[in-house]
Amino acid sequence: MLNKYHLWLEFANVGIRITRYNVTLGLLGHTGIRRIHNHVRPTLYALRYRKEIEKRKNPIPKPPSHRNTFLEWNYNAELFAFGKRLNEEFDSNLLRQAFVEKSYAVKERLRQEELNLNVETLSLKDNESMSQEGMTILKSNLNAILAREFPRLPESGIHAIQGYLTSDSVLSNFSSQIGTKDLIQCNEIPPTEETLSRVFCGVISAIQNSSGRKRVKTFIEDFVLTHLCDKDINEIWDVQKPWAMLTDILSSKGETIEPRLLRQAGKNTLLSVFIVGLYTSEKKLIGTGTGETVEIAQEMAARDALSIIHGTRYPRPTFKFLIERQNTSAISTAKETTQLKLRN
Amino acid sequence: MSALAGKRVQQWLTLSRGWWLFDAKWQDPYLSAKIISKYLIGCHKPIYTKSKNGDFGDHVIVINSADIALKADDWYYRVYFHHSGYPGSATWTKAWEVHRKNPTMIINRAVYGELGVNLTRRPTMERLHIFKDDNIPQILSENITDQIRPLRPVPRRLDSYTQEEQNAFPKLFDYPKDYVLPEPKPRVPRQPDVNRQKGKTRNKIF
Repeated sequence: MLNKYHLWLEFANVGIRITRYNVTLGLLGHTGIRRIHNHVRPTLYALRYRKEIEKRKNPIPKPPSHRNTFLEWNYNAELFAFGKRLNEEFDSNLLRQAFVEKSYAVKERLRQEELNLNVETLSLKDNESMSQEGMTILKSNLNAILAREFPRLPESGIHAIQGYLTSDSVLSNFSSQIGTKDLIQCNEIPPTEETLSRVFCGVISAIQNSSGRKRVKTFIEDFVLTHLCDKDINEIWDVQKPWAMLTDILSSKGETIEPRLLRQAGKNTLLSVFIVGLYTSEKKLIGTGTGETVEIAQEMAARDALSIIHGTRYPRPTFKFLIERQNTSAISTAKETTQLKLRN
Repeated sequence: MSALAGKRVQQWLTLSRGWWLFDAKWQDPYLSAKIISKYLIGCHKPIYTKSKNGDFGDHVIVINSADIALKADDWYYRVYFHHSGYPGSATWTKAWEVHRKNPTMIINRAVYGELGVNLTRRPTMERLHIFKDDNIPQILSENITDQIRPLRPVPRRLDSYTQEEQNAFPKLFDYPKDYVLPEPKPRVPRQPDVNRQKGKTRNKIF
């Protein structure tokens, strides 16, 4: 279809070639080419200039301030919204308690005593006991869930994954993503990792005491377990001495392992590559590994074989709880839409 | 060895450098150069990207470069130009003279010309190892991963067939037993050309 932006150029013996010209700008139009546009550089220059002016005006950087110092802050409304966002029914007192840090509660108590207020009625309850209870709930639930998701994984593996998922760095990540950062009552701005993870455990405890064990289990599946989606279990769980572990497992079945060199490249160079395969006595290949030396390749082959035996090979299949939810939702909403519902 | 070694070795394997063997016996060096240059640049790998700094190429070991077969009368009419930089020092050397002096030169220059004119050409040529026969140092031959298929199938010479193979070959007919075969002509070794002009020769053909 010809239009004013297309020109047909015919070359003899070559065929017909279409070249697109921007009529107003000629070849400089460069239609269809992706690049950094001419306005980007001046914009960045202008922004930097403005930033420098601001720095000169205020040389000392302002400390970060809490959200409650800005306009339109209603703590009760925020707590209510927090519960609704998670689609959970919370006991409001428990939820309130979950967000109070111990150090902050102590500070508040001192402040009230100074002002000669009645401490017993006004004292804030902190989340220390709640967070401990929440951590035990989290760990016990995770044990059960992980044992179901990874049936062939041994104790040490499940313990390692559980340790990773209950670590401060990971829990604080979940906590801030749910939106607890502005709700936490603590002395530091922004809250520390430990504070955030404590609050998360407090929230878990609040859910169990408000809605029950089943509800807490679905919460943990949705918010904690799904973090493993794109993670390689073999990176989380560091197996010490994989060769010894593999030989133990196979010798209990009465099988021996035979490592064989499958392929190699550049044997006498620095960039050497060796591929080792492990075979059982029935000449069946159970694992392959790559390495710069034969020893490294053999160990990687042992790790590969172990990952197959334990079912932790990356990428891993979908979670069992997701499939179960899909099936149950499909049955229950047979007449309605077939959209996946994670939380009932 | 840590748990994070899995991704590291995967990267090592993906970006590994292979070693290819190419038998140049009775092959056209200029057509072979097209294939060899592709392996040296790394165009045969799916990870290849056109980049001035990155190199994805493999090593190529060329053997039997003394037995290459140039096209038609190229042995006499193809000339290799060289200028030492001094006035009047331009030389045009015929292919057979170059080959006699250094049997690896022709295929070296052929691949050099195929690599394109850029700064990666010389480092890439470092990865090309040419040998005039099939004696490769063991330290290099142990690195080899695979062989590049020769362009033309190499036929068997008639004198390479053993007596057993000749006897086993299905014959349609044979000479009668009383037939007397003529004596083969004696092979006279070629004498050097005493009338050949020595020193500087201006054999500018093109």
